[in-house]
Amino acid sequence: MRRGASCQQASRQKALIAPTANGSPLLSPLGFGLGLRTVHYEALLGSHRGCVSWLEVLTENYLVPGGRPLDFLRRLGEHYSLVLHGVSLSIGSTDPLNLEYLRQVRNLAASCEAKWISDHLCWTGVEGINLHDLLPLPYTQESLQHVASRIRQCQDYLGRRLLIENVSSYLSYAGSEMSEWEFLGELAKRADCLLLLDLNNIHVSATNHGFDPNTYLDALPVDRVQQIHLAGHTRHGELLIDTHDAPVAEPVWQLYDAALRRFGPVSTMIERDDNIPPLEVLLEELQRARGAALSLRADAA
Amino acid sequence: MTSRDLAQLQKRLQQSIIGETAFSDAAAGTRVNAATRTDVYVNAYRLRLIDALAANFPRLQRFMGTAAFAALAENYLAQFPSTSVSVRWFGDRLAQFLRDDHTSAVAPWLADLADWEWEIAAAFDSPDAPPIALVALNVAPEEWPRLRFTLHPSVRLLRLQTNAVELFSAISDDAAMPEACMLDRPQAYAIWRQEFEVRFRIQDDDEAHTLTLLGQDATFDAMCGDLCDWHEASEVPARAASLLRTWITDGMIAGVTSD
Repeated sequence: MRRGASCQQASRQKALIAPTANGSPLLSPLGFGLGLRTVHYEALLGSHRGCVSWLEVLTENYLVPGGRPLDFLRRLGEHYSLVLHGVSLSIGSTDPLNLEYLRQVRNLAASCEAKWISDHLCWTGVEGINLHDLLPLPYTQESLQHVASRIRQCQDYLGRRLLIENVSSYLSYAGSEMSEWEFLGELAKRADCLLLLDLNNIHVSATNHGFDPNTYLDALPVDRVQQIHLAGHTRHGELLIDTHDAPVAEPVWQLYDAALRRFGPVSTMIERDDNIPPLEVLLEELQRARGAALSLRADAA
Repeated sequence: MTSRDLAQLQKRLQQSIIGETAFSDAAAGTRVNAATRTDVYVNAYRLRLIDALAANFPRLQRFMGTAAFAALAENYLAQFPSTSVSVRWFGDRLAQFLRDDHTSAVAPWLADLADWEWEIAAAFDSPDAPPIALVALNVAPEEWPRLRFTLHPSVRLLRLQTNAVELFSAISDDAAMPEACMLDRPQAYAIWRQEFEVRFRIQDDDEAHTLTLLGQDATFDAMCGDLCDWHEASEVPARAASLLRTWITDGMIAGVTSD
């Protein structure tokens, strides 16, 4: 049964690269979800089964040969739609693309029937080293061409569009030729990829670099935003640090309202990476996101 | 900016992060200067990788203490920066690093503890394979000498010089910590996974030797031949059968074939 479904999924994925009938590259939205964390495994399969419609899976945590992690993923996949979210694609690096990594991601996506695959607009290292950080790129024509070409290579290999997420940044480069939003918007068109907007990252970077986050949102193409991350951060002196270890902050909720108005009911989730509270707490926070989307719909009606 | 410029820029920032050298390509920001901005990445790098190593060696960290472990992690990171896509594999050379380090002369159990903790984790997420059942041994008597066995992919065979396993268990159980020491003679251990539970046990020398032999594609006949080093010829068939039964019942054997 699962095998059959998997084959159908693969053939559908192949078709996704081509323009769809209504001209939009967007995939069907999944509604409201959460980032999958090991401490919530039991609750997600037991007391709170079906509490959300989808889960975002941290790709690298499941690039293991076997054992309990993959078994949990299989069991969770029976109750939730899954999407893959990676941190090691290093799409902006000048090192060659890691094809072995891509092969593993493709296999994992097939085995868990991932609805989509995302990673970050960043580089994580050069000369074979992985710094395990999401380092910003200089926003130049050169890096735009470089990243767009690599996204296209990945998409050709994976047989589906990637979602590219904006990262929080603390430094910018003297050599940059355009803003991050200009870069990201142009990248989505040139690479024919989708976007994952992390609204907390936009808020963090806006504060750190002194730009208006609404300008960022207004510049992005509406038909490319597939997913939204909501998360928290920490203030460290004059800078905001993207710790993803706190509740969603008020300015990020305001940004979410603006994003809903611009992009519509985009699949939304809360991403908590540290200081992870009980599932109920995150569900309550997610309820606020549902409320925001509902009130927007009511306003529109 | 050319693609060569981009490559050079990335090398310079990486060097700043790893080597804590100045990075001159950051834009001068308002309120916060460029050096402070770069330092966010420099500091985060160290903390993140120390945390990652601690996540892979939590018992070694508890045994050493947070400060001593952090110092070890910094030294390790300086020599072996991560080259894996996942921090899951960061620390793959820590046991060897500890053996090569001068501290191994005064605290040889640290390397054994690192080795042990790494292999326990490796068994946890090693490949899945259904173990064979005892019924798989129902073959004609003349086939027995030519039987070859495949170990379950989770099986790890170690030989330790110290009481690191005792230390590991005491930390795991939150029990009183025994004094770390050298053993009178090296001790063989097997680690493997049964369903999703990681198990381990001490092995007698003949068991450790023959299980290693089977893992190298030796026949049952060869196994019996080597058991003669420990047992009278008349006792060998019974010992061989007993070992095989134990391994199969424990789920350490994933396949059997006859030539």
